[in-house]
Amino acid sequence: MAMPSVPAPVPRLPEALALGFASGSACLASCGVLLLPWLTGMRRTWLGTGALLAVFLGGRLAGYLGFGLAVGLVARLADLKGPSGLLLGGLSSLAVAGLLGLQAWRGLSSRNQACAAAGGGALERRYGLAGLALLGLLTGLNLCGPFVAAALRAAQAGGPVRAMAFFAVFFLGTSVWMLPLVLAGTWRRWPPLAQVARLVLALLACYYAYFGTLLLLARWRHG
Amino acid sequence: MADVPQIPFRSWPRAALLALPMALWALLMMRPAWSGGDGVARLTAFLAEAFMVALFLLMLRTGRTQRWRKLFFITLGFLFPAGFIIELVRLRGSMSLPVERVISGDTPFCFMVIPMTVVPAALSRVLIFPGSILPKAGNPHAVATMVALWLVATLVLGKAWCAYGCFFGGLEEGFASLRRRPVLKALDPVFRYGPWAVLATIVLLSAASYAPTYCQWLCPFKAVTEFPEVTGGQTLLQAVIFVSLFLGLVVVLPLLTKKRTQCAFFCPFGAFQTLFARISPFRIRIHRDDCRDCGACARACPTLALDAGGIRRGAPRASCMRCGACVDACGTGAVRWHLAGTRAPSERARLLFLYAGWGFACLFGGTIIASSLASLIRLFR
Repeated sequence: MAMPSVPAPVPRLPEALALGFASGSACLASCGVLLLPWLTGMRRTWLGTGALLAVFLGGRLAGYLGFGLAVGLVARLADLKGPSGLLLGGLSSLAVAGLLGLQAWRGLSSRNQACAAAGGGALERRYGLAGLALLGLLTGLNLCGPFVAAALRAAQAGGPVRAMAFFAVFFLGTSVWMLPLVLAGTWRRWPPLAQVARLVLALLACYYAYFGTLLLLARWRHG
Repeated sequence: MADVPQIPFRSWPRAALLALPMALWALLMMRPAWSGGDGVARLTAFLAEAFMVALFLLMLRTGRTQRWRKLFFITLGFLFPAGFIIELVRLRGSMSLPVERVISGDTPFCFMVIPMTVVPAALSRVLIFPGSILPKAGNPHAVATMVALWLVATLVLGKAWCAYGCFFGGLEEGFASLRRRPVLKALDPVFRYGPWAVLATIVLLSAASYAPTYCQWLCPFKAVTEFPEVTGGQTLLQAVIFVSLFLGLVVVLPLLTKKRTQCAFFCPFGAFQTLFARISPFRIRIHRDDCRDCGACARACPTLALDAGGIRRGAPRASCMRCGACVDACGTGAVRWHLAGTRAPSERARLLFLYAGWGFACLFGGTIIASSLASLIRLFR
């Protein structure tokens, strides 16, 4: 069947899948920034890493569905490019920075390898999974270009349930690109990589803190 | 039988004979200045290449590498920014780069950008740097020129780029040479992973943002080359970061530690080059039979590539840049040059490496020294 040259008035699920798959490389680039060092730092087998990735993706799916629900209910997308979008983006970036910074600090403060491994396990037992799910949720709320594009289409879906379904399929399309990250933890037998991953988390925490502050300052200037 | 236990010493005639190919190569390097340059260009090309050949001759005569290489490297490190700044001011009137010049693609391409451009180029065929692909009037430092130079040097020299090609490392090597003894001796080894962390961060962020993150935020050498014009809070913050990183990593820490701290703890390009370290056949090996475990080689290493573990293993880390400091520092001749896959005597391996490394140094650093000298002379005329 020939594809229409202009978007259909009512979006359909294959369109969501195509949109998700087409923009998945951008999602991999933006979420890979967070996930690769995080999963590598956990130093698990590929199965364990797969489980962690599933938790992250679960959080991300929740973020997508929540956003789809909000889009369907409110359909005030124009505002999301304005002050409220800046506020949401700023606060979520600062929260991401806090999470990354905490993870990096806990990892780096364990000096020897045995302690570092134990610390990693304790972290995971205490808040690792919840932290990872929260990270997924927060990255799911990031207003990148493809995400806003999907939101604009979902807003035309005709109600909150359809908008959520649109976002669920959009999520599937983007998640295909995340699957190779399952292998990230299998490099765990090389301890320097975990140290590097934690230093990367620290650097990224600085970046997200700066980015979030910029957005909040822009929101403040906007009034 | 162990070969070459001590530093070899050659007679002047023999050293001069071995240096002859390098002198001819240097003459070739001077050709553009002789055919198209003015009197100043010809003079500085002659001086620079004579300087390079003289150092090569001394390397062969004395058997020492690091002492003479360091002299070249520090000269390059201090002359490059001087010449660069003079040219920037002459062409633009300032070291700062207005946004419209950035967009127009007039930014000279630096090898530091190469690791950041790979992923975005592979994903979308977009070059995330505002430079021109091919050389043009006003910007001869185009992407194609630098990538071609880097590729050739990397295939032959691998990580030795950092000791014979990089025009930034000489600055910190200069500051590291000012004190006789280090003030700070205990350096946390975890910071050795810093370059890898910076490399991973900038590659990921550049892929996510489609922007050269390192150039925008983290390059210490922006402080002595060119940087965005300060027009607001963001550009001011960028300038503060550049200057702080430069003062901290290139001036203060090298002074205190006598190490190349920017290279050892921060430089992402160094980590990137380490990925290609195994391509080059030139290696450093420690012969355990002759080693007294005195640690002189580890203390001499300017980038912490050699430690007690490396001495026990008989080889430095992959981050070794073949500067030759450890070989020169070893009192028993246990640390030697090695040509992978051969049983060539260490002095022959060293000679072959020096032909390749110094040949590249003449081609790249020698011409930069010549052009920077010319800029300086023209400034004072």
